[in-house]
Amino acid sequence: MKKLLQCGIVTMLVLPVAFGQLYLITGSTTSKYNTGFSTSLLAVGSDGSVKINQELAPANPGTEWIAVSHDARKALILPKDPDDHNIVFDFETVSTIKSCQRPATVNLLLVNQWLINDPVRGLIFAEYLGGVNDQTDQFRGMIMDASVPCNLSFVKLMAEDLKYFVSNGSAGVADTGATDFMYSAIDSDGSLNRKWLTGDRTYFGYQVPRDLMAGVEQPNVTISVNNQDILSLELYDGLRPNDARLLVLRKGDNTWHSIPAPSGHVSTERGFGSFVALYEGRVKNSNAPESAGSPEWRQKATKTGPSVADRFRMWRETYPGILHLYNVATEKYYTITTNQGDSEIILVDNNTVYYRVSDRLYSAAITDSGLDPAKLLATSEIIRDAHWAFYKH
Amino acid sequence: MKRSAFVQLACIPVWLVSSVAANGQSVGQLYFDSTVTVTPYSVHLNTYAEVDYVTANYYDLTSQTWFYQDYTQINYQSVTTSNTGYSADFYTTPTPGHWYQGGSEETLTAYYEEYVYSTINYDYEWEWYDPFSYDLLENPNPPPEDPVFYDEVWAPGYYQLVPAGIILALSWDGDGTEVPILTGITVSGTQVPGGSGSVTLYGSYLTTRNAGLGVVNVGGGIAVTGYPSNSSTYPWSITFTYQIPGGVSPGNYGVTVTTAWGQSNPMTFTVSAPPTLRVTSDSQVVSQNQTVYITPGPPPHMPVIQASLLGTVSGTVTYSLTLQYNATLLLPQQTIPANQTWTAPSGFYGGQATLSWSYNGVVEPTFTFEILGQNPTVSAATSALQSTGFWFAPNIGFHETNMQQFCQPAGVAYCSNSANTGLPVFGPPNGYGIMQLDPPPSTDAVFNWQTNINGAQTLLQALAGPIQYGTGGQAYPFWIRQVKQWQDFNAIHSPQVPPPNDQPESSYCTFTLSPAPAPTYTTPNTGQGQRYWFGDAILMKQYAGATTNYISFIQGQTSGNWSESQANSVRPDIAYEFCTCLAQSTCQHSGSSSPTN
Repeated sequence: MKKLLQCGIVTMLVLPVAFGQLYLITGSTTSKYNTGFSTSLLAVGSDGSVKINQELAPANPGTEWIAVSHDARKALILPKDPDDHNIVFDFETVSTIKSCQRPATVNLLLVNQWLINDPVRGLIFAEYLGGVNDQTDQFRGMIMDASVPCNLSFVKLMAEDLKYFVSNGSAGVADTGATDFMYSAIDSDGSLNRKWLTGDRTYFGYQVPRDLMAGVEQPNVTISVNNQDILSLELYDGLRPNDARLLVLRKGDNTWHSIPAPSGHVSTERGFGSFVALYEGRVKNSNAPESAGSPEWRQKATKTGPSVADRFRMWRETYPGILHLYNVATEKYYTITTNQGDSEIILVDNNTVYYRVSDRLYSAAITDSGLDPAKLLATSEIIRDAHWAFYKH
Repeated sequence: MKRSAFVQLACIPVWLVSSVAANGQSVGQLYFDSTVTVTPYSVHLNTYAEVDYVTANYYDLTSQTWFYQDYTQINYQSVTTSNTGYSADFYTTPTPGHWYQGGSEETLTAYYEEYVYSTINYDYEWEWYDPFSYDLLENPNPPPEDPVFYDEVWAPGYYQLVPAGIILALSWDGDGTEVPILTGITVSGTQVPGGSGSVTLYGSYLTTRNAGLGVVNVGGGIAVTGYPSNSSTYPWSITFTYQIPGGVSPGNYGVTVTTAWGQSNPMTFTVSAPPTLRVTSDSQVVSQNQTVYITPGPPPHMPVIQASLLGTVSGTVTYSLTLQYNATLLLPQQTIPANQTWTAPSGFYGGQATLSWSYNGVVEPTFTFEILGQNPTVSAATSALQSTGFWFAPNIGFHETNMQQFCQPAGVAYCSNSANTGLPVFGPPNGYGIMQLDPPPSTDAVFNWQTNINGAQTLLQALAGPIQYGTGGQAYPFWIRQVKQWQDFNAIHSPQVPPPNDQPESSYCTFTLSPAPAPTYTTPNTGQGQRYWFGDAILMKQYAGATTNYISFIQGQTSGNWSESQANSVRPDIAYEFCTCLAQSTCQHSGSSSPTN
């Protein structure tokens, strides 16, 4: 179905990068819910229109997980049972290039999943399958390269293969999108690693300088972003989890940096090349009982997304609607104030940041002196459910 | 057809050659239902030949054979006597043995058709005579009451002067004026009030189309259509359709044919009384508007509904049973021989029942009755639910309906309306029966309490789910995944996230990570001492239609935690309510307006 969803009030209809097509991807994974939503590709027109280009996964049964690799320009969509196909969507061809039926598992359940960029086999969708009833845990991968047929795509992985994981951080706020990060342990020498229930341990090959770890009694690490440019992590004391340090490794010169901490705590990190997007959050309490902008929230679930109001009501944090963007390459820091909790940065491309505020899509050019004034690209109800974006140049 | 007759006829032109002066061709168009103006002094001999039809069909009474003649092959001759000024036209055929008569079946008029028949017959009787001797009749249209002959029958070789300008038509001085005679009747159809079908009458002189249309009369107000027929054949018969009005009294009614020449003798058409319908339930006669019951057993029993027709019947009868209860259930229509007994389709169904039936196509008054249900004993239903393999299934039965498949007075809300007594317990939006299956998987599950329980067992099994992959959200693999994710989180986090607190839901059950005595986190365990694993709490909520699970492990970016959610869309804590329902008397509601947990 191609449907013109809305061409609302648009103050500026000129896409800042006029040499390509901007696409949005909707989706809301529901691994904790007994419901599902459609994952669809939207095309944003230069006239402010937003059209559904294609549905990538239907609302029934919905999706378990969605992750993108902007480096590989691919997305992995994992539908929920009983749909047992892993879907690979390609940004260059703007099409689904692979859909493989995964082998059935008995007494093995999906515990977690990541993308890994294997130096030999390329991008792989990796599953950590937990065994029950005397079945041992194991790793399984699906090669995402479209030239590899499905019957040869599923491979057994070893724990050490997980060292090549890539991650993009969390999409959406208040559990409206999907998460993509890696929990990590950190040795006393700063080596990042992961211990598995199998007893195996995976060292990721990165070492946090000791000085950046100073004062952390019970160090815990979440690696939010790991792409070809940066590795970004949150280092926090298990006794004070809301007081995380934001550290980033600039891979180009192998230097570690502390990202300037915003006020409040960082709720979410997300990466786009050398950029790290940060969203301010507050622990929900009497001082911060509700995120900003509630009158705008959608009350009822739709085919493409949940009730935003319900998700904010159930979520443990609140958001003031303050987004930050840190360029690790230039070490410059940008702030976008939306005053809307339901806001997120969904793409940085060609020195332009694209972000969503409720049902509105904006862009702003990134300059040495800061961000240019925002331009409203489109307004549409379905934009609420768009948590990923890419540009087809 | 007799060859000798043709030979004799063929001699006529010879005779004419010597006696009639040639006067050119006198082309006749003696269609009987048209007119022709003949010129002075023209002689019409063998006028038949002037009929320039292309084809003709006629029937030989003796040989009982149809003949066909192609008139395009007729040779035309014209002879004019020079000395008298008379002329004669005559024709011969290249096909000996065939007569040239009539016209195409479609255009030949009835009268002429009769003429043809009679003439052929006549020909046999009048061997030597020209069988086509004609009389000329004035103004045949409208049909004459009695033919007025312009002249006498022409003998072979006889010719007649015809005055100029006179309108002539052809006639035969015999048939076509006879009163119809009926000799037989056959009926195909239903001869009961409301019935219809067709009647064929046999006899003579039934069609006199030259003299206007005949009329069929049937007594009793029975309507007749489809007459006259244009396919009258010998022996003459006519076929028409009839429709017996619903109010016609059974009895014999006369059937006559009336033509311009009079009314036939009557034949008898019988209208029979419709048969009497007999409906039984388990062989017991059911009267109109009576209630029959689905008995609870166990096993539950659906009464066998049967119908038959009393008296002497023939043909077929069609039965269709419709049930009305919240929605309309139309059972398959069945047509069987009328003398056989119809048995309603198997299965459980009920509500307001309407048996529609038609006898030989005639729709008869419907028969209405009611099929209601009786509940099993509480112990019978409880026992069945205990055998499902889900320890809390009886609790759901008590909670939802107090083990009632069918409404009893003072039952649940829907049953407070006495009009619903005996009907399956209904709860919005679409729940039915003891276990309030929403939606019910079948009609059986609505009216058969055991099927309802079986449906609940199937639903619970589906919601519980197989232990595989686990992304479909089924309760048991979902819970195991939560446990594994929690364990995986704790493998690298410090401090670790403690196990979820035991969650007591009333004094009747406590949900826990590790129900005693089996400390296995990932194995469905019903435990002892009212301790059950969280998988069952999740399953309870899912059965109640909740979109959020009772408990889940949330893997945040910098934290992990157990998240609990007891409410479904209707009740604040549905697991609590189920747990308390060991019997109806122990059931507690959650929430501020009721005894709470």
